[in-house]
Amino acid sequence: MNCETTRNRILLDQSRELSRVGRWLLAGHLARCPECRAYRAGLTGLAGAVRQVRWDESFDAGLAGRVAAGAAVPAPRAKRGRERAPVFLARPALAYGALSVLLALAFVLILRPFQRPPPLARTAPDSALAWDADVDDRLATLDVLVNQDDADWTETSGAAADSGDVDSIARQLLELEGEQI
Amino acid sequence: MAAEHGILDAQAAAWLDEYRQGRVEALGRVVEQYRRPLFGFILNMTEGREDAEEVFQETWRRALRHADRLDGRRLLSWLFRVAHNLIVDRVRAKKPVESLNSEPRAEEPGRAPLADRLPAPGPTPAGESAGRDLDRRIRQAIDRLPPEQREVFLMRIEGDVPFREIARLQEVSINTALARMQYALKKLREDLKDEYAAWVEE
Repeated sequence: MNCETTRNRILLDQSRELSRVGRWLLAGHLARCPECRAYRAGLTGLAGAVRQVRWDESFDAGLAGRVAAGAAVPAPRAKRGRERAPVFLARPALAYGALSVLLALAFVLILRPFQRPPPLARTAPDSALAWDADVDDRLATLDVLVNQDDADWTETSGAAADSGDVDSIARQLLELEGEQI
Repeated sequence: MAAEHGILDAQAAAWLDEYRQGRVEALGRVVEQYRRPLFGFILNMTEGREDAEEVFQETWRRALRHADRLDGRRLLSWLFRVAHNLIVDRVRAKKPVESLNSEPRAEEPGRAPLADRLPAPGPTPAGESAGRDLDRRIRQAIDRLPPEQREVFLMRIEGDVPFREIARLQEVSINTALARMQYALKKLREDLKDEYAAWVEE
């Protein structure tokens, strides 16, 4: 560490801005450098002498008094707190309005996660619509077949129709549906 | 150096608390306590006594506007900062193109050296006369410093303002602030050679 750095460290030490390591390095250098010790002693002497200078010989003696007299008396903190309260209370409508807005906002924000999801768009489930159309087609086909079978049955069996015929038609319908599916 | 300021600041902090409790007379004591260093700084950085008194009053007026937030233990340092800002504002208002980084004050046109602006000392006993002579020599030496060096020196020695803060106020690096202080000390050592030798021997 050179003397120039040390002299900056002396200044920083006196202004309480030197780190612990810096102070340790400074002490080490001062122990072996008489010039830097002299520098520090000179600085201390100069600072002391400057602080004895009567700069204020020309100072208007009444000025300090006027500064103090011109200063407002500060109100104690507690008292000021009490003084401020009526200002707020003088506008209750404003306070209640603000409170209502805040509550409404909080209500909306709280309920938002529980809201039902929006209905699915009609365009999204194309497959479902296609499925519906398919079922309609199949039902129509079945209806045609049933009517056809019904006509066949009426012509061939007449009043002699019985539950066995109905069962056979039902099976036929199931087979037809199975074919469609 | 720091310890002396610490004792003064502790006393000022107590008085400032009293002032906050509503005792205006306590403020008078604080103003009186810091009158010498603060007025000295302002006087050295302004155009004359009247100018300095105006800045002094305005510094306190601004400081007391924030009396609630004032930290009594660092009050002097804070007052120096307020004064610095006021002085810069005045310099800018009067001479917009000039800054603190100008030539030494002795060369400023139409401005008498500080020693000439102060009243001449009257007849005094020998010891006091010697003290006044040293006062005068120190004043003259400080007055000859370039403004930016003078400000760093006075802020540091009289106001106990940290270098980091001085650098911020002067809008320079901390190394520049330290260099200005070193230059100021070098010039003062040369101007006060005899006294300096005695201080070193002590």
